[in-house]
Amino acid sequence: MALHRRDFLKLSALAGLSLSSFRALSETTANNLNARVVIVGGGIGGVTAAKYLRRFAPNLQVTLIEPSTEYVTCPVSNWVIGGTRDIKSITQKYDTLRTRHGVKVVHDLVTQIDVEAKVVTTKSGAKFEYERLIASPGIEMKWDSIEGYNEAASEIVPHAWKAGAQTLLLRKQLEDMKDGGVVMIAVPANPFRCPPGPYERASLIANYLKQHKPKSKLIILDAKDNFSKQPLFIQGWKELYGYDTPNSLIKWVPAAEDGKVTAVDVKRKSLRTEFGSHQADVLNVIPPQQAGLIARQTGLTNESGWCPVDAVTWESKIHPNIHVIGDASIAGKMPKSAFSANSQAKACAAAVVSLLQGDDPAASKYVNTCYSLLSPKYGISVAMVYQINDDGVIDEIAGAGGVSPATGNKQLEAGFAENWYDNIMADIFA
Amino acid sequence: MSKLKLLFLGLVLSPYALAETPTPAKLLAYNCFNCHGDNGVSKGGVPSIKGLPANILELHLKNYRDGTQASTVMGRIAKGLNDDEIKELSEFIATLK
Repeated sequence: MALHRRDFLKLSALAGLSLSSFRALSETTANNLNARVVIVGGGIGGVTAAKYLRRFAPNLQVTLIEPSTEYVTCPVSNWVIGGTRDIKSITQKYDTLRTRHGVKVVHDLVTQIDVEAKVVTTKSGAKFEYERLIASPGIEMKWDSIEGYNEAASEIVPHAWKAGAQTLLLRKQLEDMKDGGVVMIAVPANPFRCPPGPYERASLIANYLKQHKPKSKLIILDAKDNFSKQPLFIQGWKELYGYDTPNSLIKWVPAAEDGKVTAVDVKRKSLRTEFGSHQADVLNVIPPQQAGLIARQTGLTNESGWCPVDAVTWESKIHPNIHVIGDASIAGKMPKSAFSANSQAKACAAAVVSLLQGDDPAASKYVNTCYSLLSPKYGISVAMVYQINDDGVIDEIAGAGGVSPATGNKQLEAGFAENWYDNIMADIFA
Repeated sequence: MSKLKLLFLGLVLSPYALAETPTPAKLLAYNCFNCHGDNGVSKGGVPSIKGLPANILELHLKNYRDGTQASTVMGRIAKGLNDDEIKELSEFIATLK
């Protein structure tokens, strides 16, 4: 929907804007007063992009389309599963995006992106034209890549890898479990959303078991032989949960020791690996993942199931005028994390404004920091600064970043982890 | 014309000053908000940075980078920044209102 100058003047008067302020505004972004940017997906990447587009170019018409009226964040959802935080405290709303930042938020499902006509169609039949589109579609599960594990199965055996009802389902099953029960977590191979997430989850479930069901055990069956922040997790598990002792609360089974799960029996709550089977009381299957459905429907993905993009502008290498950010994108060395999506969204917003103004977008560095809790008072982190290398790929800067030192102050980092959540959510949703 | 319709048409003014497309160093500064809060105002133990004097910010970042000032995360991030970036992003953060 185009906003014409005449309409703008009329509305400006109604909104209490003087003609001179209209001129001042129009001079700033004169060439694209009517430029329309549609954002598909109201997660971390989409909302950050919407807010910052309006910050960088206050006249841009930004429409964000997202089916849900509130957003339960994946960050900190493991704390809800561990019982130290309630789901309301990780539920974000879109009100400020509308009222403070002037983003048009539409609660509907995008069913089609016409890349030629540059029109988005939603489930309700509404159509939205765009000059530039930013897709932040997140992830979808690769159903049936583990035999017996599909969407219906996930209603019984949760993945809890998208926060909300799934998070509460897993929490409820843990609460209902008897003391002496076995909790099992199946973890996929790379790449997947939130690389340290399964191990933080294991830690916080162990923390709950230690306090409330101390005869219980937690077993991680992993499709990998190593994982994010591994030495720090192992160190913490030894300090907190007796790891590597006969009474360890946590057992980690790598791929090399037959950890890769091949099939799930949801009725019996059992898992099959290549050479064995495992019986659980509470089962959490985190399946392999791919870019969100709309990205695949639009043909934005390649054979990997993820979206190839330009590392400066985040514009799709397949369809021009469409940018893909967040977990769905192929982002070189950047992990699929909330912080990454936020960092990408800001650069993408700046690039979109530059492109709409006819300027060349400049390459910037990117940042990521991920905190994990091993207990409410034991935090660790990994951080990195990235730059685009000569091959146009996002790479780590040598000498920068890394994990917390083994002797670091875990309690201080736990406090910062909590504060990080409040602060990044304010950066996105406030 | 209802308020809703004005919102629908995107006529809410941005709460920020009219901005130009950020330079790469300024974009890096926006990444600071991920930990230091909305527009550099923190809600907890991580310090706020909004409006701190540029020379103080610059000094802190360089001290974190060379390890003369202790930190949990900041030193690891500062090691990814060069002198020019530190100077420009510090000057930018100092101007935040």
